[in-house]
Amino acid sequence: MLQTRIPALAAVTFTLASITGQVMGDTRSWDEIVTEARGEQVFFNAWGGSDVINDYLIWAADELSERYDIDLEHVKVGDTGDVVSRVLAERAAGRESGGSVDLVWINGENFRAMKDEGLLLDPWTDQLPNFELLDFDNKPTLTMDFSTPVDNMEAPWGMAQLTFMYDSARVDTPPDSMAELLAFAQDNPGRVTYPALPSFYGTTFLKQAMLELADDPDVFYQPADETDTDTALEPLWTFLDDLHALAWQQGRSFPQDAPQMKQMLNDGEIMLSLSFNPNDASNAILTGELPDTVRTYVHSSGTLGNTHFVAIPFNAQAPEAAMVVANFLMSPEAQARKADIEIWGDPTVLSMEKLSTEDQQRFADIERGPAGLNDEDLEAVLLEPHASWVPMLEDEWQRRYAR
Amino acid sequence: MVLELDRVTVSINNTPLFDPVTLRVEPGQVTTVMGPSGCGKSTLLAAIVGDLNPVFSLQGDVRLDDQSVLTLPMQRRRIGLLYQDDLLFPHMNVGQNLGFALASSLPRRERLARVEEYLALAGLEGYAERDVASLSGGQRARVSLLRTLMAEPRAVLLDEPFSKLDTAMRDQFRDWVFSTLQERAVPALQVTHDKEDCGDGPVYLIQEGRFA
Amino acid sequence: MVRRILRGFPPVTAAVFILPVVVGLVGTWLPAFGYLPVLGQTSLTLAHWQFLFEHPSVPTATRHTLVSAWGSTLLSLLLALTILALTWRSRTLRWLRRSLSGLLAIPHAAFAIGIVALLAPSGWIIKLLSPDLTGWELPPGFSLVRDPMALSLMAVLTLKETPFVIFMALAALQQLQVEKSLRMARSLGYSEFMAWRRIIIPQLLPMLRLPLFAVLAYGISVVDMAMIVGPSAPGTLAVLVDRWFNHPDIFRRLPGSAGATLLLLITVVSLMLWWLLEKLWLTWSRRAWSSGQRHTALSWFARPAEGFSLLLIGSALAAFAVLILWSFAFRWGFPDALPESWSTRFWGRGWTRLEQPFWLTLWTGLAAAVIGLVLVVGCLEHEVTLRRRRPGYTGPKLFWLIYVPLIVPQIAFLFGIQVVLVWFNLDGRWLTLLWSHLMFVVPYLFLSLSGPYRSFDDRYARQAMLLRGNEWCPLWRVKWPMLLRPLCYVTALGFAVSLAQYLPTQYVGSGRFATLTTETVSIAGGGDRRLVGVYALIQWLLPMVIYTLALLVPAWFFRHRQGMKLQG
Repeated sequence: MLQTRIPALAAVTFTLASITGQVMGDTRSWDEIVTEARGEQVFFNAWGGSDVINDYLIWAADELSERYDIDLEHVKVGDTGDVVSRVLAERAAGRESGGSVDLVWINGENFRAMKDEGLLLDPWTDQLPNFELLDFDNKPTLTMDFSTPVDNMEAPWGMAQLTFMYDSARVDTPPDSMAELLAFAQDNPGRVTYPALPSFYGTTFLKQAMLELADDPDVFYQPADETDTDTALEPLWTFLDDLHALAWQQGRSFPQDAPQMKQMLNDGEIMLSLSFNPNDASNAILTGELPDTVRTYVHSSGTLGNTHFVAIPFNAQAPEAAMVVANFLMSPEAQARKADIEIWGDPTVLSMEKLSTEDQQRFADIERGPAGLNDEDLEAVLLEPHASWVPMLEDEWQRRYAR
Repeated sequence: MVLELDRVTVSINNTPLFDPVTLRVEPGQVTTVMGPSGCGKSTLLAAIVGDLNPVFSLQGDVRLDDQSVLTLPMQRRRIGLLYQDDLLFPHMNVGQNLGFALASSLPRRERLARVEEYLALAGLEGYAERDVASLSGGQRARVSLLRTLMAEPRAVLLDEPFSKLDTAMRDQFRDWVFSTLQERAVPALQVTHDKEDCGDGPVYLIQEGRFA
Repeated sequence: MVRRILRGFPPVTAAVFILPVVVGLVGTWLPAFGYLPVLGQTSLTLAHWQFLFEHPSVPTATRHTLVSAWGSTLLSLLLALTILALTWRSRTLRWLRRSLSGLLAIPHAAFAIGIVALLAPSGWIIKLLSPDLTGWELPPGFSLVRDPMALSLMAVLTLKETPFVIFMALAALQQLQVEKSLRMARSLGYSEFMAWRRIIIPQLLPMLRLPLFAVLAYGISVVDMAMIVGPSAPGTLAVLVDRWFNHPDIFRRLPGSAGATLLLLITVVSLMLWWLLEKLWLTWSRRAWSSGQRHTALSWFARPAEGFSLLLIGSALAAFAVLILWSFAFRWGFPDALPESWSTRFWGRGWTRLEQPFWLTLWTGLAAAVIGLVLVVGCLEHEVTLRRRRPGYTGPKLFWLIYVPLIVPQIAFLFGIQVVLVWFNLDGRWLTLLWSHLMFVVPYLFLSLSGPYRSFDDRYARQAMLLRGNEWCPLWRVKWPMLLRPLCYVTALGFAVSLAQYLPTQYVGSGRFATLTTETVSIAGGGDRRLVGVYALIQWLLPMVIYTLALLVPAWFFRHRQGMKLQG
């Protein structure tokens, strides 16, 4: 029911946004924008914690410099929240143009904060030629970013879906649901955990459990203050209380992040890890970070999925060049390279049907890694709950477990 | 060059350490001021070169060839001072220590010639490249005086320069110092607590603040 | 001329370093009470303090902070004194003294990463013991690092701070006549250990007050090490505050400011308490002095003291070794004692990524060290001229101000500075970054150079002045060359201090500047361990190279000068 309703809603917002885009819009042609972009420098503020991603951006920078004469500088950010506050501070200081950020890798809460504060460039993504190739039909999260309408103010870059990993040398059958996870923890005490909140991964794990365990998950798609949150969340806290008693360090300590869990999985310190990238495990096997017996799985009732985007702040120094970069990042060539597990393994935002045969071949050529999942496995996507649940979960989790 | 002290005394908190001193040192002459430790004789020398600790103050006048030096800053008085420690610069060799006292505008060749010339005065020919740490105590003392003379001072003050040397070397070195100073016709004022260190020149005594 | 130039140094130095702290503090206090126009907040309120005190994580986070900071300060003092007292005159102390500069140069982050790689449940030590000795086929369920009591953070801080305390104590001991006191005590029938406890330590403690204040304040406000080895749920107060300052919900910066101010209060109270404890202990020990007790059972400590020194050096070496292993590993599973397969590709990849940060770190560090050196030498030389001109001048009265940046928790004023810099459009520039590093480089330079500089026999300089009739020449050609060894050494120290700066680089640099430290910390938590190994090693090796140069350059210059040989 949800899966049908949300795309419809998104489509409405999408149309509205494209209309406003045209009304307010920029009348320049794409060629004019590309010409203006020449010789510009683009400060791309993007999380710098992953080597494969950093390497991918080095490749992108080389290509952009060659094709468009654009100098792409990857500003490695630890936390995108930093970028939001920087842009905000710039506006407060009256810096209406010439800002320090040209392009930012963003989604979810940070996008909502920037959009609400009016820190983003007016709708622009529909001007990009590659906008036509996006897979709006099958990927509702392209227009609905964690329950915030995208309104063409950020350009899709890649897809994410909560996936779990296990080592088949140590585990025969991984759990298929949160209920089974609890049973699994009973059989393997001390070998199950999840990242501490406010880590994004930790929050996602909680949201996944919250949606799976609730009798009526629909309430989570409404603002949190419209329901009796205590009742709605009760199954979640009961579940976590039980889980923590059986968890790694008896639930008194948590890993910081999913990458740390990957290391712990490698060592056998824990039995299950999680990731937002279905190809993460395959990639880690290729780089020797995980043993080749590691496999991935998703819960059959579906796991949370979302899209990550790039956005341009209102005061960017080189907005045209930033648009060219965004368009390049969405191009079939760049997307196919990004989807290659030997490079990064980040799923594409493009629709195969809309691509030329040649471009389709690029994707078909990508080898599915040893731990990869089929498209069918990944079809059951749960949409992100309403954003107001996140602070509620974080605060309550902290109150209960981080004191 | 003649060094004159005209009613000179050093006081602390307006209390003079000794009676005012008036004396005249002729070129080449070594005049000695003798007194027990702590009577203020080293302070007197520091006052003359302009290196007085600020708790003290100087009264009277110090003149070189009838010109007062007290208005000049320390570095322009051109008075040499030898301590009981030789204060040779440990990071320089013998030649560099001596050459330090020469103006930097002097060409290298000339500089080396001067250094050798002075070393010859002390029988230390060929020592220019030696590390100062490898010299004997007597040799160091001689290099130290040579270095002071090299700067062509208008007068030389000696602050117990012999007290750290052992007796055998002491007499020999003292004679050499006095004759060298005489040769170069530099007025010299020595302070010491040891009678043996007095040369042929005049000797003054400070005893319990009295000057004789 | 010289005097006129020198006169400018103390006010410039103080203004450049004190003013920002004051501005930064005010810039943090105002938001704590609700005033932050940048976010449209202009009404004064106590709501953020309420948020802070009602936040469920704050009490435990505060406990973590107190445990780790107080614990590490007390332990490192105890460890340092024990080592000094019991290895005095022994060969152990001589080689410890020699390795001291190496230990001091280790960046905090790299050291913490190495320790985690050693002590984690799947760390090298357990791997070496498993499964033969432990029977563990899988890593054990308990953890020696990131423990929920913050004890591991305390231990790692202790290991890192003890060499600093020993270093400062050695400098202070030079001014005390240790040998004489010991001889006297022995003739009165006191054991060596009691002589230290009753005579030397009571004199030493007041001299160590400032360095210990710095250690205590550092422990309270440290973020990078606390993120790497500290507890996770919740972290220390400083980590919590840092997280609020970077929270996606930008209004968290307001309670963040309140939290930063709370950290400041904790520091102030802690320092006062320390001072009080020191006084109490001194009074008590003076009373005990007359009790006449000449021996103590505590002497059995003598043996462990050697073990303690070994622990300091051994932990650094082991951390270094495990980082080397990781950086060349390809597959390394549990419980293999050594990697299953090897690869050099991570060095190649690590270097590609660290090349730019490397050069930035190098130039910033060198610039900060050299500028800091000029400022500090200028101030100290000015002090020398004052001492010689003003009757009764004993030293600068207001100069303790220069230590303010070391004693005020960084996080308590950096946010305020960031706000002000953004306001004037000065954030994210290299010069402001350099200046923010100088704020911390200068006090450390002052702390370590003032000893040797003040104890220089200035008769050499005055003799040179008489010989040369010039004011500069004695400095350039005599005094500073003779002090070349300490000057080079503190330059290297200044470099290491600049390199280790994490928070200033983040806040003042507006995230624009990636240094070896920010890069290493950013991947330390969960990055690929082989790459983390490479990062940490590069971060570790750079200051080592600079230190080695700082030792070799004077050694080479003075290779033919017996009189300039290192003593001891």
